[in-house]
Amino acid sequence: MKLHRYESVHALLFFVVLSIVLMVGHFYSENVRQIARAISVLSAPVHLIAASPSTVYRWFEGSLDSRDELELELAELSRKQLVLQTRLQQFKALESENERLRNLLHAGARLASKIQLAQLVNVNLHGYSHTVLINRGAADGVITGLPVIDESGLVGQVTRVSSFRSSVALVTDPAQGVPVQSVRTGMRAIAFGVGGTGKLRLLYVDQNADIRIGDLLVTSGLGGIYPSRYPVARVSKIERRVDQAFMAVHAMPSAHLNKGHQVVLVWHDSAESSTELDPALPLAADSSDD
Amino acid sequence: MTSLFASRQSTWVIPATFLVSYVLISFPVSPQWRGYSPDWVTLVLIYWCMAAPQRVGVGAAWLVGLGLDLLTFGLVGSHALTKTVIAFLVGRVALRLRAYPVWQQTAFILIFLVIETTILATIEYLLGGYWGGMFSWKALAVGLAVWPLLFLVLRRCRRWGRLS
Repeated sequence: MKLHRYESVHALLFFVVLSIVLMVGHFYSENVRQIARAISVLSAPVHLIAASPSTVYRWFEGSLDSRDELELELAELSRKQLVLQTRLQQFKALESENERLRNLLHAGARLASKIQLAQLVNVNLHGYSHTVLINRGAADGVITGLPVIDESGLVGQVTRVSSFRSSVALVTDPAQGVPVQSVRTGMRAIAFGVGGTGKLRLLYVDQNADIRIGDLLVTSGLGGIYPSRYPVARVSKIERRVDQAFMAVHAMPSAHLNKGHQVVLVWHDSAESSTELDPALPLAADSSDD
Repeated sequence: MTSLFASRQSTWVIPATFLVSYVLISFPVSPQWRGYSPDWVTLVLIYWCMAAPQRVGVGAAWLVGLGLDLLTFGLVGSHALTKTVIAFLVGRVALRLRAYPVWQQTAFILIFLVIETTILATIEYLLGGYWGGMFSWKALAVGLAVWPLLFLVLRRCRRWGRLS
């Protein structure tokens, strides 16, 4: 048995070039992405097996709850439902009033047009630790760049789509930048993920900008990917350094990135929200300090 | 050696171990531990390229890598590239590696894993414009730590399947 039988340099070169062509194709060409989308369906059984222990655990957890616990939970949920319904009545009145005023100003409607619930698939996407998998895909009308929220704030955006699954890059991903605006002052910035820490970092905040710990940051709608006014994060730490042009501002994401297993996909008219920008005025009238 | 006992060999053991590695790599990990999850596919690939180089070579490695890219919703071709390179390198030193004790193999595994992580980080930098640390060095250390155990398990699989 000769050694050189296993070390064909030609085969290596062929497959290396093929891989590079694939990578470039996948990065630039929609056709290659469509093929990858179709073949990705094959990964579903593997994901199903990998997620099965947690699925079984969740099922057991649910079936072991006692009647008393379930009744308590039901009472709590009905109470919440009542509170939300009451607030929704006000919201509907506000919505129609807002629409009327917008019509007077000849500005278009701004609310999200369509939403859809999605479940997280509990698997690890190796090498992409700030990416999660959801059980909606191209077949449900999901497209790349679609914003994803949960009940308390912005979760991230869809990065890759297969027929029945898509991957969502969380706002804590270092590659993700979210254009944000402070609710208190209307100040704009870009929030980037920090990676391992699960925090966000605000870039390009001027040294003398008015920003405080606890300020709520919402999406500004600039850039057209995210619809405006969804909560993103709360400022948790501010460092002013004399030798630097910008402040170091850290913020904690509002969404339950680690706990929840249900998210909402939001279809919105990106063209409208990117052209229609409000002046940098405070968004909240109820701030007590101004 | 292939003709006489061919009927008694269970070649399907090899794809089966790769499938198991796919499941292991997709196994859910809580966010703070995600950086520690090793690349099981690479470890299994190194084993087969070392123990059965006439069966698992550059082409098989490319397919396995492509499967991993589709499984992780990553950039198609990136793992295919690194797995191909690793299969080639392991193939070059396969016979020597087999003669080494496990701890000495681990030193080679370190080199292979460092090469793979470097290539992946470079691809990420070229496309994303930042050194993200998405491909974690901690995972590399865990990979090294589990190699001796994995080696024993896979050797048992190989002998059970009567693969040379």
